[in-house]
Formats: sequence, C-alpha cells, structure tokens
Amino acid sequence: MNANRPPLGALVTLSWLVVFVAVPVALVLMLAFGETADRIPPIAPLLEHSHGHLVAHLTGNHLGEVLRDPLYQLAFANALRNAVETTVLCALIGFPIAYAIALAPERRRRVYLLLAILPFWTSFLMRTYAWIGLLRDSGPLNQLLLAMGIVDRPVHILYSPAAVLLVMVYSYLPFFILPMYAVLEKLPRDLLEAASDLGARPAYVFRTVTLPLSLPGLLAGSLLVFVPALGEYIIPDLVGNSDTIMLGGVLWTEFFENRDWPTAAALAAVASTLLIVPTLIVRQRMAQARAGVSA
Amino acid sequence: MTTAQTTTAAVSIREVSKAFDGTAVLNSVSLEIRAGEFLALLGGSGCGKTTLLRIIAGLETPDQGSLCIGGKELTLAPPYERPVNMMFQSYALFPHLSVTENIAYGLRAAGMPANVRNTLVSWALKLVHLSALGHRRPAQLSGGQRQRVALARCLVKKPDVLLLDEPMAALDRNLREDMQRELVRIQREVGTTFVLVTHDQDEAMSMADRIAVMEQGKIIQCGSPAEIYARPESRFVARFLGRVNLFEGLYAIDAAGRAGITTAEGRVLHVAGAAGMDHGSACTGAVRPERMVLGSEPTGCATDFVGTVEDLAYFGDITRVIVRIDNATRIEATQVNRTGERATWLARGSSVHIGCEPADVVVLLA
Repeated sequence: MNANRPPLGALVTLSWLVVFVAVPVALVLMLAFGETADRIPPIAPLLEHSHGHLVAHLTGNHLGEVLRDPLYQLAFANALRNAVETTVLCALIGFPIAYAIALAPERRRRVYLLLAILPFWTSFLMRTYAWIGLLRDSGPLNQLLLAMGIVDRPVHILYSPAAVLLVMVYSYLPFFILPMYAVLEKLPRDLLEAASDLGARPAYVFRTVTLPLSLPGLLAGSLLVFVPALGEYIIPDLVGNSDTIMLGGVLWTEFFENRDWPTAAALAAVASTLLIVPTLIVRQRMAQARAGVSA
Repeated sequence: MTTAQTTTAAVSIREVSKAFDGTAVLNSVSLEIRAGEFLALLGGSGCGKTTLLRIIAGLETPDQGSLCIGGKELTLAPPYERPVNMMFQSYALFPHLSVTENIAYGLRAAGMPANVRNTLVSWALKLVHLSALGHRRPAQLSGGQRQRVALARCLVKKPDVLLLDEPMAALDRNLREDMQRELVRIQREVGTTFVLVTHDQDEAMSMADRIAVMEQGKIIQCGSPAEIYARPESRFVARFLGRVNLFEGLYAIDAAGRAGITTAEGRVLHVAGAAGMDHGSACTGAVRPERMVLGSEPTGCATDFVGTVEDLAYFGDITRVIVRIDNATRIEATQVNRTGERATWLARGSSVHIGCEPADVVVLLA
C-alpha cells in the first residue's frame, strides 16, 4: 500500500470522530459561551451583522455561574459520589464474577458470559421500571422481608439514594464484567502456578500477580462504568428521591424546562472535563502496563 | 555423583497413579530420587513425565500413592509448603517485575528481611552471570537470559529439589548445548538435587547421573546413562536411546552348548548365555552399530554375515554404513575414521563381511 495514502479504516475512523465527537463537542462549547435569547432556538446568534459591524455575542457568565452556584456544585458532588460508589461496587462485585467465569471450564464460560449480558435482551427503561415494582412498599422485596419477620413494617427503599445505587450497580455491572473477564481469561496460569511454587500463599499470589496483571481490565471496566454513571439521568429520575439533585436531572431541567441552553451546555462542558481526567489517568496506566509486558 | 553413596532419598514416590478425565496418565509409578543427584525423566510426549514432575511440585495431586520429600510425607501439601521449586517450560517470569524483583519474589513471599534478601539475590544473579541486567524487565531479555532468570529465581530459594520442565525446549540449538553445560556446572556448584524432564535422549545422556525412561505412564527402566545404553531391558529403551540393530528370532542352544538367536531367515546370531531364557522362546538380539565389525574378509567374530553395502554416510569423525544381508535385513555399522580416509574396499555396492561378538549382543524378551 502507498505509504502516503492513509488506509480506508483510518479515514472511516477519522470521519466518525469528526462527525460524532469533534462537531458535537464544538457545538456544546459554542453554546456554553452563548447568550440566551427569546427566540427559537433560544440562543442569540454567536456572530451578527449590526450596523455594518460584525458583533460577537460571547459570554463566560454561564460557565462562571455553573462553577460558582452551590446548587450546581451540589449536583456535581452528588453525581460524582454516586458514580464513584457505583464504580467501586461494580468492581467489588464484578471482579469475582469475571474471575469465576475465567476459571470455569471452557464450555461453560460461554454460557456464563451469555448470562452476564442477558439483561441487555430487555430494554433498559423496562428493567428500570421493573425495579420500581420490586422495591415499592407493597413489592416482593418488602413482602419477603415481612414474611421472614426481619421487619415489621415495609422498608421505604424506593425513591431513596440506596435504590439509585442498587439499580445503577445492577445496570452497569455487565460493562465492568466484560473487559475484566477479557483480561483475566488471558492471564497466564503458569504465572499463578510459579508464584505458588515459589512459596506464595493464595492471598499473596492474588495481591502480587493476579491484581497487577489484571489492572488494565480493572481500569477499562471502571471507566466504562464511571463515564456513563456520572451523567446518568433516568435511574435517579425513576427510582431516586426528587430532593436529591443530580447532574443529569439539572441538565435536563435547564435544557427542556428553563430553555437555558448556554447553562445546560456549560454543565455538559464541565462534566466532560471531569471525565477527561480519569480517562487520561487510565490511558497512562494502561500504557505503563503494556510497556512492562512488551517493552 | 558426590552423594551417590549416601542412602537418603530426596524424593520417594510410591505407587503414584493419576488420570485426567478417565485417561490414565501415570500408572503406579515408584521412584527414589537420591539427594544431590541429577536425574532425568526421559520419554516421548504423553508418557506422563511432566505430570510426575508436577506431582512432585504439588501442582497436581495424585489419585493414588504417596510422595515423600526429604523424608516428610507431602502427598497432599500445597506447592507453597514444599521444599521444591520448579523451572517452567515457559519460564513463567512475572512480566510486571524486573529481573531482580522476579528473583526476590519467593524470598519476599517468605517474609525474608531486605538485607538477607539482597545478599541472596546478588548471589543468584552472579551464579547465572546476570548481575548487570537486574533492572531489566523479562521482555527485554533474550531467551537464554530468561532461562537464567527462571533458574536463579528457583535456586535463590535454596530448594531441596529443583524441578526442570523441558528447560531447553525454547532455546535454539547452539544455545542449548551451552546451557546444558551451564546447568550441569551450576548443579555441581550448588549440590542441589535436580530432576529434569526431557524428550531429548542426548540431553538426558549428557547431563544426568541417572535416567528414568518413561513410557505410557510407567517407568520402564532406571539407571546410569551407560547402563541404560549398554544394557537396555526392552526394545523400546534400546531404540529410544541411540541407534540399534534388532534381530528377532528364537532362542536356541546348539550341540556345542553355544547360545544363539535363530532368525526367520535361518541366520544365527551368537549370544552370551541369557539367564531365564528357554530353548525355543521368542526373543530379540540388540546390537549397537559401533559394536558391529566390518571387513573385506571374514571378521573372525563368532557371528559373521556376508552382505552388500547399500549406503554410506560420511560424518567426518565417523561413517555410517548400511549393509544389506538379505531382502528383509539391513544392519547398520559405525566406522570410526581414524586416518580421515575411507578404506578402499568400503564402497556402495561392494561385498563385505559384518559381524559381532556374543558379548556385544543384548538379549531382549520378544
């Protein structure tokens, strides 16, 4: 192939990135510096001819407001805490599951993997609604708790932060298990045997061999959970407490109810920046891990 | 060698059996490994040699039988509680740790203080000539260097027994011979019992004090390389170690009281009397090519056949000669080339005599 001509695959990738990443990001940034106006769309033109002059309507007010206003800070803090808790729980539950699948006999692995992604067969929205039925005061969970005599009146789980966390972990777990499994499945068994042979007890082998070598999967899985979890809107809206404001909800309100596009765009821009930091850390760690294996 | 006279067994394996998914891999294997010796487990693929090694390491559990290491019953002990270390065929170096950290791994796991650990690691690095490469990652090393790291990582633990699983398999031919000599040197230096698994008979012969030949999950013969070469107890062993001429026939004692094997073609191969062999019983005579005597005239040996030179292969130090004595029988003979020139009577198609003495024939059952 001609070295001067980029391969078709690279062109496709580049076009995809331009159309679906670069252009939307640019639009969001432009909106974030725009001004609201009483028109459709509810935004003043960024550049305007006025009396023979080219006038730019740009302002940093919305971005400043988003960063300073305690309400937005609370929304970010709540979303961040929720995303971190979801990621940590997904890792704690997903790692043993992925490890168990990787250690299973080859024929059974496919069945287990299929079971792990089986929830995707049903719409995400329907599964979230199903949780409302499961968690409500008269739902099966409370009936079970009552029947077993663990509680004497229904526990109000639904519309609480706990319900949000539960449903978030349930929804995002497969996104952690899959990359984690992919790495654990390739972990050479002879390294574990060698560690054991050299006198390391199972817990020490796990800490010094299994864990460091499965770090790429752990980081990839955590990122796949953390990124969408930070902006999650539907789950807090459906099973959460309406008093707990979250990033997704605030963004929705600004955009659709207040028709304040610049503030919504500023919120989105700050959220994206928050996501870039962990992504860069993960990328760097992955590069380090690869350098260790193949340098 | 140094401890051949001591009677303590480093490892004693008693009637060990193992099956995987209903297929027997080891069939009641018993073996005493002497302290300080270099033992080779030799056999083709699937003979059970690696499984036996893994049972000693504790990476497999025997279905039946028992295993003692240093006089202690350790049949079911986990690998990390055994005074043995194994060098894996893949070397199994930790890719995320440096050479030094790899070697220190077992000491760290044992909770050894850093100053003692460092002394031992430097000693091990020096032993395998890798002192300059301690900071490198395994991926930055050549195949031979990786093997040395794997070896040092085991030896630094000062195991009672070092297990080596096909250590030369991943090395190219030239490097292999160097490493074989190197391993023998290190074994002499540290005096540890070495158990080597190999399918390469030359490797086993040149390195080991003793060879245990395995076939189909059993040890079929165990002895020094010279014993096994000179006195094989079965056709399999005779063929597996070196080249051999086999004469099938019936054991017979003639009127003069001389023992021999009469082949289907009516030839008689004279043999030294074999104990427990009855007149008329089926047996095989095995003769090594270098024991065959060639000549343009009768060789003067007790057994003397006439044949035609079918093929000659010149190897510099030796010449391999294939002599056809009838349509069904070809005999291989090795001639040492003393003068550097071949005898003029020895040429393709020429008629020669080929013979051997009774003492050179090993009589094998069937």
